[in-house]
Amino acid sequence: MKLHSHNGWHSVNTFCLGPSIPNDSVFTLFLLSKQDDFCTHSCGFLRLPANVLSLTDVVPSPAPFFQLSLQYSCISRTKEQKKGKLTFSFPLTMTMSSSSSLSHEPFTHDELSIQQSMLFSDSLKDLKHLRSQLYSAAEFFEDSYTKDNQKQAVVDTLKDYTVRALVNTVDHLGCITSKVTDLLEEKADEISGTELRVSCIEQRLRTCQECIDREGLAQQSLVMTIPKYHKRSVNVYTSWFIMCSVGDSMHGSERTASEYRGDSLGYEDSWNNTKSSARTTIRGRQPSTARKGRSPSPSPQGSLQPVNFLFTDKQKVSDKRTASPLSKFPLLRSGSFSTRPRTPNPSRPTTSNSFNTRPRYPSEPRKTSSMRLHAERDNRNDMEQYPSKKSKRLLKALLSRKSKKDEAVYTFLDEY
Amino acid sequence: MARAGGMGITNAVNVGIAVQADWENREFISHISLNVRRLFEFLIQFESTTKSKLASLNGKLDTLERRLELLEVQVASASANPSLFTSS
Repeated sequence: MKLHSHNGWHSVNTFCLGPSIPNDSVFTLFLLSKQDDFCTHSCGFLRLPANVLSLTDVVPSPAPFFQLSLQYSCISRTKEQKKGKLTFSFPLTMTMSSSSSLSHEPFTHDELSIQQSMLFSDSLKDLKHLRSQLYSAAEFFEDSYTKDNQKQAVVDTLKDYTVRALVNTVDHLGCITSKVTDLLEEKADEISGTELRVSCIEQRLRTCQECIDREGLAQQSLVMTIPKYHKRSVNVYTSWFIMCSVGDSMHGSERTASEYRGDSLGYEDSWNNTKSSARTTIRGRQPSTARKGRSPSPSPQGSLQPVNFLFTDKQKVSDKRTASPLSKFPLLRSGSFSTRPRTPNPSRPTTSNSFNTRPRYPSEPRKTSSMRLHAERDNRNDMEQYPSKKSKRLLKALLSRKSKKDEAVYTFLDEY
Repeated sequence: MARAGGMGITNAVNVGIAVQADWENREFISHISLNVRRLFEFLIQFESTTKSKLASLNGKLDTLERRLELLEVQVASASANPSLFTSS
């Protein structure tokens, strides 16, 4: 392989030539633009016959050389359009050996990469051989200088050879370094692309992990048992409505059903208020009745005096504090405090007859929750059998509520 | 005397020519050595830059390898528990 120079261009690699070259042959030519600084070599790639205007002359020169002249037009990497004429001469043996690479098919990316790697390895081999060539040339010029009479001619030839050898070395090194740099940049780009892909996979995996965690949390939250209210509590709410309706019928207060809709906590609170007031009322009518847990129900026969339950608005209740049932009936504190905290709040009013003036005791929700737990632990048969009797009695009381309003109330309160 | 004077001048001219040729040769050699030195410096610089690039590439490849190993382990652990992907 030889380095040929023409119009400031160097061909550094071979043509793919056969012994007989058809006009539509495909050639590959790599060109290096000649620059003053060898660090800034730019590689131009010329593929024939796409960029060749005309293949002017293909003349087999007398052996052992093969000469080729062609006009070219190519665009280098610096976007410069180059036109010119190239003349190459090759040894015939090399042309014959490289004839197998003559191809009419278009080059693919793999073939081009393979060719470039082959050319890179050839350049490296040339650099390796350059050292031995320089040593042999130095020995040759030394011998000729000592033996030949025309020493000045030998010196001039030596100078010329040295300059050419240096230029060839620079060209080889520039070509190799540029290829190495391109290869490194290509690998760096590949690594960057791979990093992006890995980051994408990691992000997907993280998203999957979050989804899995969310799903697991949802499953665990579904596993949690929904708290079941005891039938007592259910009856409390139904009885609450019943009592309200009884109170409405008794006193003719204009209350709509929408007033009774609300949170279960509100109902519970209101019910506790009502229950405590009712108990105090009943105990007031049955003095000295020691109550532990559930007090014995006051019999309707014993409570001949009718009891008025007032379910009015807040303002009415606050205005009518003096008319509350607790003012009429003394409070039996020992029984009502059985479920209350031992250290009562000093700001708590002593009479808890109204809905809003009475503060909510913190022990009451605990009692409700304990009832829930107890209800979960209880047998279901007990839960089903127990309120059936009550409901029957309650229904009877409801049926006869017009005639026996107080009886119904006391019957209901008896259950609690 | 005249011949002797002519020979002396000729010798002086020859010596001058030889000295000039010697200086030209020295200048040529200095140019060549300067270019060889530049080439050597370029090779050293190219070696250092290539080494640094290769080192950075090596570091990136190591990082990628570790990340890929981590991903591989995570995917293997996930595929070992297929119940994670089955909707209940």
